[in-house]
Amino acid sequence: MPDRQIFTADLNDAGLFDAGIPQDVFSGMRATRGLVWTPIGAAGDGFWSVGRFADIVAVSRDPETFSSAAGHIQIYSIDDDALQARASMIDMDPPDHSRLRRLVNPGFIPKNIRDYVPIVRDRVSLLLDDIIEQGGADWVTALAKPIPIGIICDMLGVPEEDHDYMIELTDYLVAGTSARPLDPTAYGNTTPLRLLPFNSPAAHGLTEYARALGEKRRADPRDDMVSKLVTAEIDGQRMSDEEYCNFFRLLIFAGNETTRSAMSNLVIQMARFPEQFARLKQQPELIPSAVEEVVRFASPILYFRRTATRDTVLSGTQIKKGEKVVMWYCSGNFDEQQFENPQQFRVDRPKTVHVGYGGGGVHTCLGSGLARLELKVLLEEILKRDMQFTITETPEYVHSNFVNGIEHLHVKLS
Amino acid sequence: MQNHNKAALIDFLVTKIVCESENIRSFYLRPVRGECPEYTPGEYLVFELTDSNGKKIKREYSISNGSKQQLRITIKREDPPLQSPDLPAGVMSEYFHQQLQVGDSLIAYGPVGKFKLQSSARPVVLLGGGVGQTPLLAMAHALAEQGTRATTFIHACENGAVHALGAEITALKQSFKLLRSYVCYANPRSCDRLGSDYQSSGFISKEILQSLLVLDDYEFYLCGPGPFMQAMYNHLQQLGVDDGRIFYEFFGPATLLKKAAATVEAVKLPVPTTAADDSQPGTDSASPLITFSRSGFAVPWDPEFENLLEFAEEQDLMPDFSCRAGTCDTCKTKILQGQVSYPDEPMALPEEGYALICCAIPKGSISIDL
Repeated sequence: MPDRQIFTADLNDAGLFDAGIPQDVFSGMRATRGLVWTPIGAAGDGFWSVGRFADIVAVSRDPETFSSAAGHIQIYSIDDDALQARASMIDMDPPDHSRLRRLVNPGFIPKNIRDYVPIVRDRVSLLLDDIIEQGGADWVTALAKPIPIGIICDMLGVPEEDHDYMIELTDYLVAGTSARPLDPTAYGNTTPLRLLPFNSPAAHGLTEYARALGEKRRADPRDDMVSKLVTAEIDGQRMSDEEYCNFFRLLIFAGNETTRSAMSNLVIQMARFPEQFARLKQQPELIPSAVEEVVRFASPILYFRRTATRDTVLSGTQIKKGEKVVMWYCSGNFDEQQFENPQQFRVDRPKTVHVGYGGGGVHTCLGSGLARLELKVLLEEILKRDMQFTITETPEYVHSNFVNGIEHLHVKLS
Repeated sequence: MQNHNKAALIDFLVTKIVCESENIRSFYLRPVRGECPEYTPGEYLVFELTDSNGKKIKREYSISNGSKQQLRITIKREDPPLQSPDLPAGVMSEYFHQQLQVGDSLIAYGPVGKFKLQSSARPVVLLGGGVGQTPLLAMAHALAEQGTRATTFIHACENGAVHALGAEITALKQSFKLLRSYVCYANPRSCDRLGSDYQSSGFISKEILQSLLVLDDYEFYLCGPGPFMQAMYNHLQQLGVDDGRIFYEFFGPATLLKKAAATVEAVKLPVPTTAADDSQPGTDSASPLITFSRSGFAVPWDPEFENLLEFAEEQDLMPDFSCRAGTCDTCKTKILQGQVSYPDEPMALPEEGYALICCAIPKGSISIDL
């Protein structure tokens, strides 16, 4: 493979992201012509990295060439049986993907999520007032974790007393992306880890939980999403238990980890750019654009991978059928070609499409409306209380090259 | 009045409670800090309460009048149904009626709502059933202040015992000469006086409307319970009123005002007055009509919606979508008649005759394959 530009940094190393997005690495990537290659091991495995905004959009919008179903959506390879066992909506292409989306779409439309405004406001207010009373907190534990999980659990119908268990399981799920060894028997797991999503035994725990809740709701349906999922039919067929459990796991993970990371990032940006946020007091109409800027800076999902279904050319680089193509959203969101002064945080940035919810196309984040709503209400309530944050310890990032999560963020109020 | 972020909570103080009828009271609310938020007549405030089971309940109450200093909401006590006295009374209305006192504080958010008095020069007909008249009262006050648009206030309720704020309309007529009113009691009591307390008994018929309204290009505002709304809507259709001239809000659970198949022709009859092109500069022209052809109904477009997808969802339709940003083509829908435009250009426009409804708005009336 003589013509492949081997990239200087090892993007497969989660340690590269231990202090947040390595901006220098990605600006180097964007400045390199064509796509760059990161080899994995010696057997010829590796992946193409797509770092420029326009290229990410091109890959996202072309599921026929860049498939989510033909291989795994994370960098590491998995066997076909594992792919099969863990498949959820995000591991599918249209039309399979569209059929499943149809099942959950109603829960996320503006008309239905607007009911959550007062609920989010209530929950946020309680937690913010606690933080004020204590003069500071670990923002992640005190607010960024409980808010999004609370809302997605409400939507799904997971009772309040189980919210902490859901947090624990999703944390342990993400730990599976870190390449650190996990206890294969945790949560009573007996399935080989290679067959489990994120190679984590927490996936087993989530599946078991989903199964039990599903059975309860099938016997006694309520007005919640689990009741709908276990009774819904797609093209005249009920979802299999496995499909439903995978769906549940995806929704719990996606509705939780990502918004949590954006909420933590909000506070990091508030501490870095207090004058920007002070402006919002006078100009609350800028709050929605501030929320977009927070998500751009957060880039909660660092990348998604696709697999080429045919030989093709992108940005002048030849891609062979079967090769891995990785879209680095955390790079596209700082592309100088798309954003003026991309490293500058501006609450009044003119409306510019970013890839914080994906690069467009059918896999665009289903919960983006909900995330925007949660972040907007949180920001409004912070401003209402005139809260100013000082970060007292270096933020501790999740050891992962897949999510831009923050484990701990100690703040005090000034 | 203050510019106010509508999603934010406002702390209010209850300054006055007025008994308007047997089961209706008005509550005057003054913000604890600053002036009242700006509101458009028709908008409501949202109140929240935790019931005895710890369940959060939320109710919207229309603003029935307001000033910079205070807003008024008017609430009917929702008793248990007569045939099932064991059922609980309305928790929120019970709270307002039984517990709330002058000097108490209350939190609400808003004002919000899509049912608003339009700015135009057309004559106005306000058609209210029961306590559904509350947003219409705010509209009547605003129209009186403006003083330029002929206004007909039509109110239907059970009888004089529950007729609220009749005197307020009578008083308003003294200062606003273009205001007329008409009251219809379903079951008048013996002490209710025909001709002064009410003008007719029973229900408001098409003939009553016809006799009250000389040929003109009216805007109609409807608010009341479902059966009242459907009946009024049917009358207006049969009188040939264009859908674009009818604005409505349900009091209680909302449903769709559906056209009966037999009456579709009736709405197609031209409105015997000024067309949209004749509207004065600076006034709104009529809302375009969105016909959902496969579903068999049509609704006037509401420009508060960002796109046709959201608007269709509001009507309980569920078109396929994925990205909601014009990048995936999932929501591509056939346009059977009319044209759309794109305030935010999608990444690629669909072929002729189709629209990406997640980012399209109508350019005039349209018919779409939904």
